[in-house]
Amino acid sequence: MQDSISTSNGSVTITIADKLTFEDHDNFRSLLKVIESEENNSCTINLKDLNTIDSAGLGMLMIAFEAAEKTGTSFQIHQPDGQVKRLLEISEFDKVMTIVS
Amino acid sequence: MSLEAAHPITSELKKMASPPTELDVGKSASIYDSHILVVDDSALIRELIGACLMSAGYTKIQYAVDGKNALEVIKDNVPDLIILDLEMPVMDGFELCKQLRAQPETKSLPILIQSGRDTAADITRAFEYGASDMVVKPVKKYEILARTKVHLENKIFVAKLTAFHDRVASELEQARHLQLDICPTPAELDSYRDNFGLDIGWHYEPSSELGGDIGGILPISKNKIAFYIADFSGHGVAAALNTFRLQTWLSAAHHLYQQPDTLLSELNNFLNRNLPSGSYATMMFFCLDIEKQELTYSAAGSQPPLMQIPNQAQDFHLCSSKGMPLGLRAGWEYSLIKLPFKINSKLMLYSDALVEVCTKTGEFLGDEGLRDEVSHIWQEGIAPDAILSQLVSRFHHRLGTGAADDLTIIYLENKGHKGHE
Repeated sequence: MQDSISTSNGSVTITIADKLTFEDHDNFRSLLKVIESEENNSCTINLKDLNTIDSAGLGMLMIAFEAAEKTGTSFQIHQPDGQVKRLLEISEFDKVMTIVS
Repeated sequence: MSLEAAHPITSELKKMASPPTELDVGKSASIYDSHILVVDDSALIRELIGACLMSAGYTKIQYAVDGKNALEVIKDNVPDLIILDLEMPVMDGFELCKQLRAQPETKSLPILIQSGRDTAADITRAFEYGASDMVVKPVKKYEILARTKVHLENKIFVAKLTAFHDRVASELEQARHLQLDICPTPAELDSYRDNFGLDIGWHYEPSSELGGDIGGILPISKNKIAFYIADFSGHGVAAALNTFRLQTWLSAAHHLYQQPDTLLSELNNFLNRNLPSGSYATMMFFCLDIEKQELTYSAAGSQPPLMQIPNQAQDFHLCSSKGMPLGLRAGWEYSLIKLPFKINSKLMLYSDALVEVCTKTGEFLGDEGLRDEVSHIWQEGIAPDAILSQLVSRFHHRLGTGAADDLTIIYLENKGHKGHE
């Protein structure tokens, strides 16, 4: 997993690139802290450069959404593509969270 | 060559036979029950090393005068460590090393060389022939005891680790058999053909010892039969235990087999309460009415199943499998889909491993790729078992030596039930 974080005026954008899999659990936990931070009222996860996601990675996205849900932070997933987009569609994540193409 | 002449043996023996000190008798008492074989043609050196070992608390010490004699002793009782001289008549230490390393029971036996030969060539040769370690004469008590202790402790640690590994491997193997037992037997599959007119093929292979895939067939009545495929996130022991949890839950949910949507909703709530956050299962649950020739199903994010409807199209098409994976969101509702399943209709269910392998172009096969492939190879007249074998063989060919996920493939064909044709 490669990630980068940018924050401006209470909005945080987390870009996750390459792969999001079982091995990324620990790294992902530190991203959760950013999402849970009270300083942010909006969170965007940008997946435009994410090529592969496995079942654990999909679970992590739901955990991230629930973390935002708990703190009342608005949550969006941006630009999923290919296999990632397909998996999000099959799993009906769009019925729970905002997914922007 | 023996070097005892160069040393004041008597005083040395006295020193070595002194009572064990704290340094000699370490905390790991079990190493002092080890069998040690001292091989040297010099009686004095044998006695000297023996006294030294005894002073540290070792009691099971055997002696041999040359390599040939050592082999005879080892034949009766394989020691835990050999302290070996190199230059001896009849059979020298080099030859003994070589022979011991060639035998399975002594292949990894620790061999500590003690020799006056200390040139680089000698040392290299000794290690090439299989020595574990080397000390140079004259024999120094604390050096030989320290090396002895290291090798014996190492041997005990490795033995414990090997025993632990073997026990875990054997338990995993038993668990794997339990998991394979969940799959329908060939006799059961035959009975579904006889009783429901269904030709069913089943292929299941876990990625490591255990897997998170599960599938099953659940007869409901004379004219109705349910079946399902599920895949828990992750794999290995935790995912496998969850498959048993699912099976137990399903066996107590008989009253829901004809309502796949309600079944998934209730199962979703159960798993949401019991799985850790972020863990889930994808699943499809089907109920087939043989009389009406109708398939009713609900899905929770599985791979889209492939279906072929006779007289409509020769090719297979992908059916919807959209749905929130089970366990992620409490209170989720699942939709119910109804499809005709006339005689000669075919349905194939599969886990994601089958489509997440790279083709020649370097891209994933994907659902569409699989659909095209199955449409191409599933020609009339070929036995379904042969088609399944082809799919599995292509999967392994594409996978190469890469790590696989659990693979499940289930196919069903409505061959026509007596009285409903």
